[in-house]
Amino acid sequence: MIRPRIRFHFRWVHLAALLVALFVAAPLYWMAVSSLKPMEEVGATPPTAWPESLTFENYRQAFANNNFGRYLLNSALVSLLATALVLSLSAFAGYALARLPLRGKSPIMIALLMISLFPTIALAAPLFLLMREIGWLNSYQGLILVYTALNIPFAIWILRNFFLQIPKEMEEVAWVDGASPVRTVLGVILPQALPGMFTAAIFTFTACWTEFLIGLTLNTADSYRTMPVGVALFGSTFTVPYGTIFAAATVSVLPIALLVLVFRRAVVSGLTSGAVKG
Amino acid sequence: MSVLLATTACGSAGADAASVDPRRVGPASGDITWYAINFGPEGFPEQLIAAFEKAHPEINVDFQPAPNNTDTMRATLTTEITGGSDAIDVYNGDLVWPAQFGDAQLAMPLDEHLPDDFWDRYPEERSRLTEYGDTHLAAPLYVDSGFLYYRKDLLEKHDLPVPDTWQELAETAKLLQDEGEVDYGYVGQWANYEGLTVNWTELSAAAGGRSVSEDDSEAAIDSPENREALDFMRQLLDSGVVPSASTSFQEQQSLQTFVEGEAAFHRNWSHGWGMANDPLASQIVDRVGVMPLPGFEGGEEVGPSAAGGWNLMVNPHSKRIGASLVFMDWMTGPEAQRMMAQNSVLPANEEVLHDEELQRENPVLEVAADLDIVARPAHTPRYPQISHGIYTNINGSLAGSGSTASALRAAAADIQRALEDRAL
Amino acid sequence: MSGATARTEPRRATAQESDGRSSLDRKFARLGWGFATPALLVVLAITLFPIAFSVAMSLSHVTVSADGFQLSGTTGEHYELLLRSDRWRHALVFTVLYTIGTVVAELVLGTLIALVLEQLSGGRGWMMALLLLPWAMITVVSAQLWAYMYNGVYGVLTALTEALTGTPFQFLGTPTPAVLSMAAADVWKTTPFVAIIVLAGLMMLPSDVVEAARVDGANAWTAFWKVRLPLLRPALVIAVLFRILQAFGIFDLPFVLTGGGPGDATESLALLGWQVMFTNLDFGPGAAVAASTAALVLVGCLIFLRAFKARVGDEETQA
Repeated sequence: MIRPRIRFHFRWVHLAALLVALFVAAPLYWMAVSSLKPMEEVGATPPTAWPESLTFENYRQAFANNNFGRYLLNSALVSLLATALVLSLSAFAGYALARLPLRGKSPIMIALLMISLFPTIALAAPLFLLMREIGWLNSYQGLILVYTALNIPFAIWILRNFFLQIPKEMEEVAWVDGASPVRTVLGVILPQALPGMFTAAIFTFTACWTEFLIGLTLNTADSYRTMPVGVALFGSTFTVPYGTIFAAATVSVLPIALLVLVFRRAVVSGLTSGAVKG
Repeated sequence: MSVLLATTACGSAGADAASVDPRRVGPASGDITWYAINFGPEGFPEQLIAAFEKAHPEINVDFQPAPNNTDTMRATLTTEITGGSDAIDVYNGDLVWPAQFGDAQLAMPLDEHLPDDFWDRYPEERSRLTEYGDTHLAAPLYVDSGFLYYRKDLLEKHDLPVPDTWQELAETAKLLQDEGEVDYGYVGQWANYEGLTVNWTELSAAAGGRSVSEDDSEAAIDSPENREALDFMRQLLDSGVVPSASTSFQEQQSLQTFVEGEAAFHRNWSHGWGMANDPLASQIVDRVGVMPLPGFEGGEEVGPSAAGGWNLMVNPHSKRIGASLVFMDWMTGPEAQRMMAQNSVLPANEEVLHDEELQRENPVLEVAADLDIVARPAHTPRYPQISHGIYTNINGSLAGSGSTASALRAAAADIQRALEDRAL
Repeated sequence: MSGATARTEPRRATAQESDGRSSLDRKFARLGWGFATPALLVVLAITLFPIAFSVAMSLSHVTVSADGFQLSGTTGEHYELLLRSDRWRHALVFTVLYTIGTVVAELVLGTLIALVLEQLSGGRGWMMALLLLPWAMITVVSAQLWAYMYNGVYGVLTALTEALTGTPFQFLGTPTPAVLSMAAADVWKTTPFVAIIVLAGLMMLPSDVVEAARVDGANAWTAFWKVRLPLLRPALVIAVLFRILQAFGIFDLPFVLTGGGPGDATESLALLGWQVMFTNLDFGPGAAVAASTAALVLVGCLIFLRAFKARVGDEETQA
């Protein structure tokens, strides 16, 4: 009685997953394919579904004529370090705001929300003044610190929500066993909230990875430029070199996909230890 | 920080651009940074620098490419310069920036430091476009203008004359469309952005109109001449001569349409010529003619072209003004300007622009030398707001969300607000 | 508040709740501050000055000069200007409607996608990786990608509509299609954000509750609607909250796709703020646009929290 229902269920799910994948992948396909077309084909009418003359010229262009490799490295460094900082700071803060008897949790949460909703355009100029005062323009630490601060609110919100859902029994056992607070968080809470950590990590990383305006404003020297700023330098006033831009964009999203695939195991294992799905 | 937050008693910014104190220019040597959007062929700014450094070994120039969007570049410059940064010494500034940058003190007034005869290298009207208050704030680096590109092969094939007026252009275009030669008759830049103000200024001037009164005191856009111009644009759309997609076309999209062989006539800047004749990019190599924009029926024979291009400006915080001025002088002098002319960048230097030998190599140069130029109303610091008032209302009307009369009325109100110094 | 809060804290702390705060309670509170302070300090150190500076600018006469921004006097005139401006009102209406439309669409789609992914036995990691790609694209570039696909002459979507209907559809040339096209590009890019948060929420659901419902004979639909959705609410609240504030700040899509056009059809508050501030260099009014936008989103978020009966800071852990 149950088996056929499950089998039907599976087919429905696979069809739905396929549709979702198509919806998401079609524009990406178009981007990747266009990045492999020579200039005259990028603007061809009607457009060609597959490059008639496949070329890697756009990729060469992105890396050779522009300092794109360097920008990618800068972005990776800044994004990874900022993500690490955000996670380590927000995990403890999120735990405290979820489980410990602090006064004024509501105002704190709302204040954090307010900070993340303040438009970046209004922050760019004063941040420049601030960083100039400290002397951290054209540096890694300046950008890392700003990205850390701007992404902590969301990470706290996300992590706190996950901590709230962890059954209390686990940590109480740890308390009773006399584990130190830090060890309780690291050893008991975080493993339980792996999907949350993953979610916070991936969103923080992508936010730093794609941020444009502050990167543009704080790091103007070529050696400290980040990837999104680098892409904006392609072309000239009247030309948008779609091929080169898409080549760069294709290269720039691959690390994210890799990162997710690497961390996939962590998510899956966190899952199986926590719950068995029907 | 306290300095930055300090309040001052000064009430209005005024038009007193010279309030950046004159100062010693420092030695004409050392390292300077030049901030500019890429222009010319790939790697062209670096070639110019190499030639400059050869002529002036005592100065090193570091080229810092700017984001290719003019507004984004302006935002970065504003943040840097108001923030007191001297990281940039010289920068490329849009032709329409001097008034605004002078008002906000983002550019160093040049007259203190440059001899009066420096400006003789430019045509009078070009040099005047760099003034604000009573001083020059920028030195034209390269210029640009609107040109009409047309399919000379199709005109020859059907034995049609080159159109003198926009009305003739529309008829000829329609004819070629009906013959099945092209999908569209004409493409320009009619999207919701600065480029539409440019296209509008040209058409409006051809019809005898203007958007702001001559003394920059009031809106003049709501006039019979302009109603005629806008009606004409709407007719081009209605009759299918202009594709309906063109209300989202900027330079890139319109030029692409033309080089794909889909349009008979095309308005663009000078780079359109090189692109249309580039076998790697174009389907219509050697089948393209270039001429001044047409006039309006009953008006002048030749229509005016909008002035475009970029100037060199100096960061008032630069510690290397001496070297920056040497760089400015060389870049606007004959050697650099000739390099530009040879690389399809229109020289600002009058002597080079009128060099007959160079003109023979580059037909665009020949047309450019004798154009009738019309300037956008950029003598006021509030030009960006004025331009926004023009292009949103015209674009909205072209996209079908308002009649000619109501669009021009709304544009006039927006322009008036800008002239009265109200931000919104 | 104390009654509800107490239940979320370690049980030993709750024992003396009516006798005031015990020493243990204070110890936990100290610990809490110890945990929370570093993160809060970093946030404050970086954001306090810029936000205060912007708000100050929005309330002063601002002169832009080589010596920096000079603020003089206190004035409400920039806000008055907004209230009297048709352009601001139009941008506000557009932004609010656009936010509601896209967030609702993304919430429904995102939840459905999360449910589908949850059911997938294999390949979930790959699907997650795929889903994240749009989200991980630089917003300007994804806007350029859509501009390229929507292009009225050589865009692939235009060509597709021409192949299907005989006439090329103009996505960006006229107001209503332009708004919808922009929303579609937005949904493509941001639905994954919702889907991934909801999926993570689904993974955290206590399996025994869901199992119990199933044993009780509830069908899949009832089990979802009556049991899992309520448990999922905190995750949904976060997804929606952060989507509201992202959508309200929409900038790159209109900046690249339409320039706010045709006319002013797609001019968002963020685009308006940018133009006033960095194109017109009117920093006072620009800051007023930004600060009022922030205030409005905050009000929107609070209304949403109230409507969803989501309590922040004093939730209960389990139903």
